[in-house]
Amino acid sequence: MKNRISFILCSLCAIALFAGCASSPVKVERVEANTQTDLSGYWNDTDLRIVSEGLIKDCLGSERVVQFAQTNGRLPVVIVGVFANGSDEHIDTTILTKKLETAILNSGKADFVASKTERSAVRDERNDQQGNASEKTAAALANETGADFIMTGSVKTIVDKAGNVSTRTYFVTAELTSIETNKKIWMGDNSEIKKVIKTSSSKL
Amino acid sequence: MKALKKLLLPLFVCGLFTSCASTSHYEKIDASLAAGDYAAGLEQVRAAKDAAYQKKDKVLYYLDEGMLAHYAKDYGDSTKSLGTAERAIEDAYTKSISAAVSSYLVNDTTLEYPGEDYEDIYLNAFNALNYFYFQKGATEDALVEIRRVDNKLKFLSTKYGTEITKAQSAVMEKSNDIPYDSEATRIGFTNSALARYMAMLFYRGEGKSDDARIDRNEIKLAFANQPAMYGFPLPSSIADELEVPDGMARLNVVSFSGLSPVKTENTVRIPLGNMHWLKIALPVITQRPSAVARTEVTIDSGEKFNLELIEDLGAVATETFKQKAALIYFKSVMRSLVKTSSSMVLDDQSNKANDANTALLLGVLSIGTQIYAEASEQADLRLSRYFPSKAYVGGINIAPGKCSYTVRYYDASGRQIQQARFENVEIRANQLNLSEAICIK
Repeated sequence: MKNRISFILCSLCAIALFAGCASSPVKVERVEANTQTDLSGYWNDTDLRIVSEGLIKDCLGSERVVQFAQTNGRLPVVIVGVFANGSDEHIDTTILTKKLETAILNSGKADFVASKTERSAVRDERNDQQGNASEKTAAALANETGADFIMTGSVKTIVDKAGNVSTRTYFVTAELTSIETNKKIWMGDNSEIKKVIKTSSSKL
Repeated sequence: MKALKKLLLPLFVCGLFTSCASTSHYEKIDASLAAGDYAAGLEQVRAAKDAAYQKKDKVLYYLDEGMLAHYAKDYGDSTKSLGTAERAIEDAYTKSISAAVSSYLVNDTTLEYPGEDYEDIYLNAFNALNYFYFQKGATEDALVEIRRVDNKLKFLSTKYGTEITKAQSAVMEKSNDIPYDSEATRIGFTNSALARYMAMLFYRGEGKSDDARIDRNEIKLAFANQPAMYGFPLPSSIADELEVPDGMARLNVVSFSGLSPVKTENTVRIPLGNMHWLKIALPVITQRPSAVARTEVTIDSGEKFNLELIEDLGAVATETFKQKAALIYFKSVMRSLVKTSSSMVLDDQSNKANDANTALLLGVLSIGTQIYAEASEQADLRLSRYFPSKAYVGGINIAPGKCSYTVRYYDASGRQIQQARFENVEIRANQLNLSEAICIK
């Protein structure tokens, strides 16, 4: 009996001693960028991908966007405006707007001009060129391209919770509004993201 | 075998009392706060992190650190700490099975501290202010925090429903003699006037007058529908908040004073006869008195206005603890019944034993079990220490431009006990001009 207890105690001590001697405390595994990884239930890269792909497809397929180029003989010029976060999470909406901007620009269906926050740096550089760059290479003043449309949008959430189960639904909208006439040329919404989150009440 | 007993017994005794976390650091921090030296209080809590807060007290530490950082105007760090506390509260919902078993054998201090509901709600309110100050007046992230308060309040009324019913049934199956207060399971806090006030200001600052009006009305509803927590007049300045004349600006001042309540132990012993008793140790929310009786704002140009009470955080803490207290009560009764029943069974077997040595051994074990029940039954008194007890608000319409003003705190005898000075603050029309003053006395 005594020997058996000693053996068990020694074994437990040995396990405790060597358990922390793993080669590295951090394990990193690279996965495909489109792998779905839901850890907390909050907004993540998978949601961003689903929402942006849906909105981009919607926008690029819009008849009115295509018609603008045909009617005016040039591509519409778009500026990114406020993309409001009306959710209950701290979501960086600039990632979403940049994805939309990149996809639409690369599609060749619209041109973009620098946004309100970006253009002050561009203007500073242009002003700096007037005194420091050669006359031939300095960018001309008062030659900015005015935007035809402003892209705005919002992210909102509806949360419901009872016991250890909660649901989170995301409503993302985006729209292109004519700066001159206030007419909306395109509106898109995505409410595909709905998550049911179950929190375990016990762990080992 | 004797050697093993010698080893295990002290370990067991240690295990019983290791849950008693050190609280001596609070005295130094309290003194710093009373002196208005919030930066010192923040340094003191950080210095005490390893010695005074155990791993299972993560929520407690980050709440204390987050609030002290807020008072010290370190809004970036306060946001991080309160955010960490919020995530730790979410994580603590999933309880360790071993710790849960220990809590049924020993007491609730063996569990990870999960945070109280009022802490979970107000950490977002203070984070809203943190975001507003840290982002120099931007309100988008501040409003995210206010929405989180709203979601938590919606969930609160249903949070403990089934748990309480289950616990009640379990106790009733064991004994019919345990008193049960059905009122304790009802919670009356569903709307925070303070959170609504902040939302009203943030929306007004964004020019969203409809949203601001909705929240202004919700402040009135919070007062009308929750008299237990709002047993004082609606701040008169609320009526003027959305009536700013063209060309004028509005200065708003929010003030926090006093310290949030603490938990004290209320012990009940129910005699069961033959030297046996049921010990139930319950945590009770106990308010800490505040010396502040009146808060006045004086603008250098001569205008004065009093700040008015909008939220009694201590009263909310008491109300929101009612449901959890009911659960703790049922669990304590169950645990104490098990401990005392074991002692009574051993006592009974001792009386029936034919052999004198066996009777003596069982008798000693019975006494030991009752002593263990007495010693181990302790209330879990953990609660963050540095939320304020009261929130006051006020506002005035003034001409835009630079403005200097003083917030003065007076006690009940009219003596000034502290002041906060604001120099050359730029007051702008059509935006939120919000200042915050603190008096932890």
